[in-house]
Amino acid sequence: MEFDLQRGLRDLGGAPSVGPDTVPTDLVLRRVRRGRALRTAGIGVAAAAVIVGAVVAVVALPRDPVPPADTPTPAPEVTTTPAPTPFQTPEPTEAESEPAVVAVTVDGTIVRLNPETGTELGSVVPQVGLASVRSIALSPDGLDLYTTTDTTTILRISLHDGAAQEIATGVNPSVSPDGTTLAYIGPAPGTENPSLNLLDIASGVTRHSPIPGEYQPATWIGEPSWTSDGSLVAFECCFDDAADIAVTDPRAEDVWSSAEWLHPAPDAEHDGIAYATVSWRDPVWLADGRLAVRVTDAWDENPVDDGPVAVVDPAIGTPHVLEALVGTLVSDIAARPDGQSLLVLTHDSTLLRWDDDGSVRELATGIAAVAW
Amino acid sequence: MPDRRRDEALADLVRHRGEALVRYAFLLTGDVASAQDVVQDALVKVFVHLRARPQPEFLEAYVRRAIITVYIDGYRRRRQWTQSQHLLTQDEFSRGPDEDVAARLDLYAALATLAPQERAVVVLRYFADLTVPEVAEDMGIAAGTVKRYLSNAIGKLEQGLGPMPSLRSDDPEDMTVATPRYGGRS
Repeated sequence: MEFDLQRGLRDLGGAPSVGPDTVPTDLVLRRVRRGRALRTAGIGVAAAAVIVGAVVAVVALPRDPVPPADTPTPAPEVTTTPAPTPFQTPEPTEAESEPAVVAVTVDGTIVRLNPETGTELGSVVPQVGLASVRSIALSPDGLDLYTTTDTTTILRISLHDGAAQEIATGVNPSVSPDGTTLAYIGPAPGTENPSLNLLDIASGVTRHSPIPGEYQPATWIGEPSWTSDGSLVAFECCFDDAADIAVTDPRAEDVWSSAEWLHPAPDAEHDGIAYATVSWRDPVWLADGRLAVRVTDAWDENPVDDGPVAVVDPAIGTPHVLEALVGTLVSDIAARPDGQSLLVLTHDSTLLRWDDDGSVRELATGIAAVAW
Repeated sequence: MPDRRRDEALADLVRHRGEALVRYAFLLTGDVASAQDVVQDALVKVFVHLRARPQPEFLEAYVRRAIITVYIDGYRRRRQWTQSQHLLTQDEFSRGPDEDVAARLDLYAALATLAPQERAVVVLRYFADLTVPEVAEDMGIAAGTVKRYLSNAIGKLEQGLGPMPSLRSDDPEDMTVATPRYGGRS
């Protein structure tokens, strides 16, 4: 007899034990009132983002000079490596001068795509289901992919045979440019507080840097993004009333006390308190030292809006909005290793490519996560 | 509309429909704690933007639409740090006849195999009883994309639940489109 899906969904929806007080009214009201105050006192996302030369508060500059734009870290040439790979080796083409894009489809297949056309260059079916994959990270040698599963387990998946290995408990894995270190977010041992963790891939030893008490309650730490020389990481850190970008040396003795914080300058005032009406989120470090960010409403702790993508130079502070992407619902950003192009994943699983001439084109559909 | 009236509308909605909204979000998230978070975020989104008080039934529709978008985007921005989740307890699964319990477990496991967008279209189409165009509008995507997600989702659900031929009807509104799972320009 055929399974009655409609009846089954109604039955399943009735299963959990939730009562009439399952949603805390007072808490929601407080959040709504704060959001209204910010919106009525400020300019808003679209206007603030396009203001040329908007003042940006940079609490302090990154400690070490960022690498110059003309000396990017060489990208791994997947097609030229002699190591065995499950991806079919394509005929050499002009497009092979660019590193290939690795993506996970909505069906959970890992694919390698031509970065110019989006054409499939090869695929491998992982030995674990990736239908619910979140962000992915690619090892610099192009042999492994790191991702997080539903159970907040970080996996390393071989791009040779799809074999999966559990690596750590956490989310948002990000591999250092030299391939030796995996940065990820997860609870430090013995605590449920978020921690910036560094796993030495060769030895398996992990260094935990739990967020200090004075920064609590932090509700979210985003995916770390490495500079091309591996000296700094940037990540979004969301607190109860704001989201800032932390820039820190991940190998410093105390990564939190040495962190510099980036955020837009206050551009509104309410009840005598200055607020920034926008937040910068999901930083992706470009090889020239600039950051690609999403610009969202500051009051929105779970932004879905079509906030623009902007490129920010931490040394100068002026955000440059990528006009061609205004109005696009962006769920993820990946940068070409030299930072001259971006891959943008939209809410409906479409993969777009933005180039520094301002052009945008569609590469593929049905993509759940991407790395470059 | 004064803030006070909007606050009253929010309080009324939460008081009378909060439980139903969490149960709706639970079908998407699979655990109660995440469902509660999603509903809260969706309520904030709607009521911060709200300028006039619509009819109550429309207000809930706005919130349900926001739940879908918050779930899909928030899924990537996972907030839970530990492996422990508030999954359904054995008691909750055990209500009713044995065949109902088994079906509940099977469906719960089958839904977990779906990608967020696939799970969302299944809930909208077969729980909320929306048409394909209505699902497309709610999710802000093309009808063809909805059909592709539905086709993929049904295929995955059938792996655990058995064939469901009635879901692959000839109704033009439901007709699935044989599109590649991903595409690129050659």
